[in-house]
Amino acid sequence: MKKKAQSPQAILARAEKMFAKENFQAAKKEYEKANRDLQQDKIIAKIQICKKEIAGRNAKELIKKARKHLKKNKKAEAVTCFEKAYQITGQKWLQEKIKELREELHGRDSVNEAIMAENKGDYPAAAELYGQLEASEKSQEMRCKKAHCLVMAEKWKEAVSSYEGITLSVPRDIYDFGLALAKQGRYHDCLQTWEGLDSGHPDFAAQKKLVISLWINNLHDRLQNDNDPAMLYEEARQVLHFTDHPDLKRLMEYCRAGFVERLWLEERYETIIELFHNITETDIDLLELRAKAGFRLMEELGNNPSRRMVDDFTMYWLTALHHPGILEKYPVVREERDDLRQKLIKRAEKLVKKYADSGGPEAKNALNLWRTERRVIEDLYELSADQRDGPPVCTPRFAVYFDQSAQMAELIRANRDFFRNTEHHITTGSYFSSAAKGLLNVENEKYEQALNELNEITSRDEFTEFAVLRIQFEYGLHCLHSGNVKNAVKYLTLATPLFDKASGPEKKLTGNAFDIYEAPALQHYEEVLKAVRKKRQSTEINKALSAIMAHNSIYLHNNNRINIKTLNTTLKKALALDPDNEAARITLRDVDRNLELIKLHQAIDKLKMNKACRIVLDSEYEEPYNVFFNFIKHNIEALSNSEMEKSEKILILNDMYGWCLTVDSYHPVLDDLSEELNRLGTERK
Amino acid sequence: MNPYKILGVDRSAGKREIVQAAAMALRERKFSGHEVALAQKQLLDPASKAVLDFLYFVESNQRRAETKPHQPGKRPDIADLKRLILFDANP
Repeated sequence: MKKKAQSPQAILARAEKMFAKENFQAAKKEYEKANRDLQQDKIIAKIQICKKEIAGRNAKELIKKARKHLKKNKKAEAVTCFEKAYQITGQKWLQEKIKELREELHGRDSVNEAIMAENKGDYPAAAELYGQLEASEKSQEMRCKKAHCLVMAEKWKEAVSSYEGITLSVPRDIYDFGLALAKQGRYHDCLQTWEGLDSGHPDFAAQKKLVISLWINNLHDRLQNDNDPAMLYEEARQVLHFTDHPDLKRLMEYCRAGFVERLWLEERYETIIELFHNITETDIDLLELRAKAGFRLMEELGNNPSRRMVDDFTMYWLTALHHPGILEKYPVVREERDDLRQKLIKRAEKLVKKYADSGGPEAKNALNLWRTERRVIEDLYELSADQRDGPPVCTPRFAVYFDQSAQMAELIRANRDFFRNTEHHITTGSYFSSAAKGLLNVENEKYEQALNELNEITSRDEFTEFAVLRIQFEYGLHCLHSGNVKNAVKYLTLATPLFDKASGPEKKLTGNAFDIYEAPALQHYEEVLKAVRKKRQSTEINKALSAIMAHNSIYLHNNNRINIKTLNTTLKKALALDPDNEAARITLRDVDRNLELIKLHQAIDKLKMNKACRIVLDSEYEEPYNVFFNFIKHNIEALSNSEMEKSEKILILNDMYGWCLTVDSYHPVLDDLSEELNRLGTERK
Repeated sequence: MNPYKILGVDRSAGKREIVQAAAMALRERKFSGHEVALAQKQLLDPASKAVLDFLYFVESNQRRAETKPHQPGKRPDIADLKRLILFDANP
């Protein structure tokens, strides 16, 4: 083996070689040897670099080792390695890692400690320890464990505080939280929390029932202490979500009445009305209050109530005033009660009229609806006056809202004799049929909506059938007025059975026909009436169609869209439909006469004088006669002044004499002709 | 306007009280002479008073007092609400 060179330069050269190969350990050793003799700053610097590199490599090794420990969950060993590495490098991340691992090591001990305390039944201590862990680790799991231990320790208030704000998913936590809430008197929150538990266990059901009982009792206690009825009412409504306990219902109604009364005294009418959006039953006091609140609000708002407000006012007001229990409470004698009712109705009607007059078509419909509701309820009131056990009557819209239509329909059905006729009976009944909602929409001119609602109808009694026909009829009429002829024909022909049951609709359809003189309404009406007539013939429809045909044909002729012959034919058809159609008759005479004159002129122009004579003879009018003889007179004069040969003149005059003789042998023109012939020295042959 | 408010009288006010209240209201000048006179006229006319009584008063106080609900029979005890172990299966 070759011996290593020992001169300082040789050692230094070796050191450099090692350094270049990054063998810092060997390089350092050689540099140190070389420096013993050479004593150079350059070598010292190199030694420092080597030392630093060596330390770095050691730290890397330590970190690697620490990570291996962590993989094997040997946290304590890992911490030692990280600490050594930190001592070497001083890197900040190592410091943080060491801190984190130390906390984990400490926590594990605390968790063990807490579990031990919990297992031993020392819940306050366990809660304390879990609390510390929750604080250090910001862990929701530790918070739940702490809260559970607080429940076990019956520290309800602290348990609630711990659970609050956490989204719970573990059934035990949900249950514990609910229990703690109930123990704190927060029954509603408890029951709401427990709604997250899917358990039908009888013990749990019994416990829920107990909580509800506690809640109801608590409400009663507060009621006796005259707590705010509004608050109690709201709370009682919340309990209703969990139970339909009869005690609760009574309590709720009582609180609500108190609440509404307070609102009345404070003149908070709008709030009363808002409250009624949630009320589905028809308690007499509430009905009266709602009606009065509506009146007062209508008065306050003048022209500016919403349409919904007016309609609601209409139904509550009219229903309240016809309720047997409401006006009876007022100290007026029985005879005066009807007078009072009428006065109150009139005052309300003024308000509705004021609203209707101030707005557009929609506002005007409010008055239509008022009139319908009033008419119907007044009939029902009169009907029920003799019925001791009958139900209180209501308006159609009220019946729809409070599900009383069937009851009212039954009352109407059972008292057929009360009504003037079938139409009156069935029309009134239709407002309480299962199609009543659609019918009310028709009153509001919401035709599309009304028609769509027909799809939802299930029952098909006689009132419903009638209502359906009326909706189809009104929709068809609406289509006719808006120019949708196709749908007008479809729905008005569908609705023709309605005309057998009620006279009103047929009159409504035909009544307009006499006042239409313009296109395109004339054509639309003619098309529709022809289609309806195919389904149902009646004098009314014949008359209307006759009028429309006459008007339409005249309109078309005036606008050069049909000739006089077509006009003549159509007018004859119109007259056939309605012989009393004076317009058609007069026009036809005129057209006839004009036609004859045209024919007469044509015959004269073509010198077909025999034909001309026949026209004049057959005509019942004076004009062709006059035209004919004027023509002759004019020709006599023309002939007299002409340069024609005498013989020719005589020939023509004789012809003319013959024609005149055929038409009227006593006409004075014959004398003129004889005279002219005499003047020419001859006589009539 | 509510005539009862204008005159500051209750529903049970008699003729004499109404007239006195009207005189007082005129002196106070909170409302115009026309308003006060109309209010007095309306309240002195029995038919018009009946309408006003209906419009401005509610009658359910007495009925409400009669229907005040009573405490349900047996009062439950919060102590009976014991913790169940039903839900401890998956802590």
